[in-house]
Amino acid sequence: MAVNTYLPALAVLIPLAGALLILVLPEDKYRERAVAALLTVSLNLIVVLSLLPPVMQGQLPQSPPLRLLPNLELTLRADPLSMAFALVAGSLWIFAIIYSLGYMKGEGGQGRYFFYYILSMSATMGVAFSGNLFSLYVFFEYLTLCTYPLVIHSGSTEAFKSGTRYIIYCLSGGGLILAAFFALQSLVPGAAFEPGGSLAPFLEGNRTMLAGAFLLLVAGFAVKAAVIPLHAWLPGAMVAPAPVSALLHAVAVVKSGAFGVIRVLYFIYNPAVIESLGLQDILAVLVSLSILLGSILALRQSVLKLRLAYSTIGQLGYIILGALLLTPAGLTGGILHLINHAFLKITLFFCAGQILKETGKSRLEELYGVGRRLPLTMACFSLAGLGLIGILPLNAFISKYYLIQGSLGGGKTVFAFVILASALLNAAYYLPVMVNAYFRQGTFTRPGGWETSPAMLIPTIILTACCFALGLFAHELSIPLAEKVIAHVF
Amino acid sequence: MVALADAPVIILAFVFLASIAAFFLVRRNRRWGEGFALVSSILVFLTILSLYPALREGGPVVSAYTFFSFPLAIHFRVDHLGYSMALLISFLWVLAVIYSRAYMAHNHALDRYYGFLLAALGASLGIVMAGDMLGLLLFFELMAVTSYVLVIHEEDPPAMFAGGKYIYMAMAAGFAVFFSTILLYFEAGDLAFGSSGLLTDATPFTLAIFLGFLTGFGIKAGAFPLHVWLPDAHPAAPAPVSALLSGVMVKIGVFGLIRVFYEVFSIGLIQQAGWHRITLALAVITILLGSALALRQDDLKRRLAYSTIAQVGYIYLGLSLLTEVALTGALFHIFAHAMMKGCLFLCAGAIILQTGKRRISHLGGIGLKMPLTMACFTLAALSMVGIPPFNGFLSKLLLSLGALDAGAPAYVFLLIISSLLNAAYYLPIVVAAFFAPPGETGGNSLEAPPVMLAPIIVLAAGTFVFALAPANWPLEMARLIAGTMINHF
Repeated sequence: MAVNTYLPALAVLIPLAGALLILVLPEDKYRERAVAALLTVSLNLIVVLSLLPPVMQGQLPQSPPLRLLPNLELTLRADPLSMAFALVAGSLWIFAIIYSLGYMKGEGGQGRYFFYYILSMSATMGVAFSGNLFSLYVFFEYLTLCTYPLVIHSGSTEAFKSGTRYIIYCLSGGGLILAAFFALQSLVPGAAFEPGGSLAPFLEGNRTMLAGAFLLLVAGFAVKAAVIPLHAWLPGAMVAPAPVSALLHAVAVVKSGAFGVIRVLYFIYNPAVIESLGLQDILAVLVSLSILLGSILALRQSVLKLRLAYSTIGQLGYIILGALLLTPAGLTGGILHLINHAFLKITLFFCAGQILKETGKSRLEELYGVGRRLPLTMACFSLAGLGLIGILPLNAFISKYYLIQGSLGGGKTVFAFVILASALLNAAYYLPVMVNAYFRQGTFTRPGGWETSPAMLIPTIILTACCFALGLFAHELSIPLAEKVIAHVF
Repeated sequence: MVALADAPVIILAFVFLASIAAFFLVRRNRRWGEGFALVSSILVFLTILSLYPALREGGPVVSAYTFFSFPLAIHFRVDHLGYSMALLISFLWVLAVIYSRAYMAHNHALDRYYGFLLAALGASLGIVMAGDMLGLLLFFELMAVTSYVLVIHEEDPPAMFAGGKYIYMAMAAGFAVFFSTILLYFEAGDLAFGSSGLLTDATPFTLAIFLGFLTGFGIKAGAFPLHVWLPDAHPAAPAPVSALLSGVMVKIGVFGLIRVFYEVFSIGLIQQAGWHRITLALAVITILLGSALALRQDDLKRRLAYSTIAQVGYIYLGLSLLTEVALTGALFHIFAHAMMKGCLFLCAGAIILQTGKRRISHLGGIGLKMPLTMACFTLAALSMVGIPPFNGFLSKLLLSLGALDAGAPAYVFLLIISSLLNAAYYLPIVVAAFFAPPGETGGNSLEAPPVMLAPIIVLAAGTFVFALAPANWPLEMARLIAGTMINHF
């Protein structure tokens, strides 16, 4: 049931206004900028949270559309899937802003940094609340553009090179989406997101066109989700400052790709149409290869952040695989992993950032014994790493459980083995990091006082606690939301 | 006093809080911290002991609390098997904590050591008191992680290498159990114990579940062909940890398998499907291979580790013969072997600490310098060989009778051959210790300090006291458990 409200639009406009406010602040007004940034993201989280009760009651709050041309309008509205993404992004942004305040202390270009950082929140909210394919495309491109300056923040040659690659990949992905949008325009003008899609009546006679558009859409979003072989931008983008890598390249940007895939699969197409096109299995196999390859490549990385980046590739594959299983349990697993992986991976990236900031070291063999210098940081890192491996009672266990149920329930046992094999690989590339940090002798000494700035340490610790909470109280926190999405689309 | 239904939660909460407290206390003041760890472990043991009347009166009790509401809640359950395991575990832990005071006196990172020692106790107790497979898995993973830290405590290259092997195998074990648990839930829709068999059909799918569990728990138990981590990890750990690893932690793997045999499946189903033949074959290979390899080791602790593999084979054998007497033997051997092997590892630790010698060929005449230690070693070794009136004899007798019940006398010969092999690798150590001339002159006594001797003597006494005493409680308990489990179906 659609309800008119300005809240979804506000979720996009508040960060936009906040970003503009930060832009006009003079560079040396550090305190004011911090207050403005925190206020903006907190206010935004309140807006998102206030959308939650109506959505859980089955309403679909919708803002008045902005009509550009007939059948071409920007629509913002909230459904259960957008709430899942917006809630994760909205709450993580607060942690990331606090962390950034600690991490960027003493660095140059802070005004620019926070401007784009908040601006990209506006884009992410737009992606979450988009009500049709056109809006999703617009905010998708907007997200690419306003994260580009963050990738090249350091201004080094390497950063520019990576930034160029990033923008070429993401804009090309956007191009594919746009092409598909034009192709679908003749059948479903506007391509609004409806559960079950509205393409089913046009299936006969348009098979080739529908299959082509489907592949274009999935490929376009898969670029942002860094599915191999479309992933090459992600490792390079790790030159960005740690909070950027953490939030954008573990959570917001890559997740918006996975989110887009779910939108395409369940809100433009639907399981029946996709099965009749016969594309789900081949795509699931490709994604499985991406999962395994990502994990294997992660094993070979000797730089901590790169290892995390390749791990992201593997984990994003889980989400897309879950969606491609086309079963309720599979999609539940995908959505839960979208939530759970976000919390775990941002914790890992935060820890990597603290290590880099405090010791200046990024290569794994330089990090022997770093647990002595950064005991709490490494404790959080170890817990989050164990969580991603799938150890109880941390949260990723739950999403893996549903993914395996989904693959068994659909009679596709092979994907259960893919998830299991990938879990073993996860163990193989996370455990040595933890073990060497604690038990190998290094040159590190115990810290006097705080091991790192509390602005970085405290968010990391709270996030680790959140990972436990999401595992222990999954039934109260993440599962109801996922079930709401399932009830919406199946 | 604690009510039986509340006991698991209270005990586990206490142990995990105590492990955190011990970490900080040891860091602040070593003596206090060690005292605290000791008092906590004794308290846990006494609490578990005090539950016995309630268990005898009331039978198995399901805990009132549930946790982790996904997709089923984890709950706890105390039955006779879990209770006996918990009692044994907490008892050995008390001894290990006492022994550690002297053995670890000059070691590093004691805060970490005691913290993780207690955490591993909590994980082990959690496994045996878990009321469903999900809870068992949770604590199984937790035990892998906590015991890893104990295994690599020395942090020297051999320990790191052994630890690496250990943690990967343990993770693989966790995944195997995880995978089977998910398949089990998919098939049966429930994971709780106490329903006499969650699965009722033998299909390729349930066979996959069985094999997954067998792999997972087999790794932990150190059974062939998944034993490869054990001969490295057990010797590399500090002696009290080796005693715990060999004494109780491998048994937890077997415990998991018992749960699989009697709770996940039922003995009737296993027999009908013939899957016990898989574990029987593994048991035979494990027994012979473990003993044969033990013969070839010169490193004392490595020899003990291979001997553990062979002894786990006995328990496997008793479990897979599927008769009441054989199961009694297997359960009794869990207890008996914990006493003997715990004692042997603690003796080995005392020898290494006092003389710095690890090689058996260098231990000539050691019995003259460490008479008490080596006397206890001898008792435990004789029990291993299976000479009356020691525990080891009783368990072998029961296993042999069980094999005859099952109509498979060949296994009696297997047990006899294995006993001979045991004799061949234990007795030369004893003989050389007392009768070979000491390698170096100077007859100073090198006897271990009383704090280390006390646990050794208690365990050595444990190898025969119950076999001689008029009431053999461990055996009664094993009979009771085996009786209820076999007659249940």
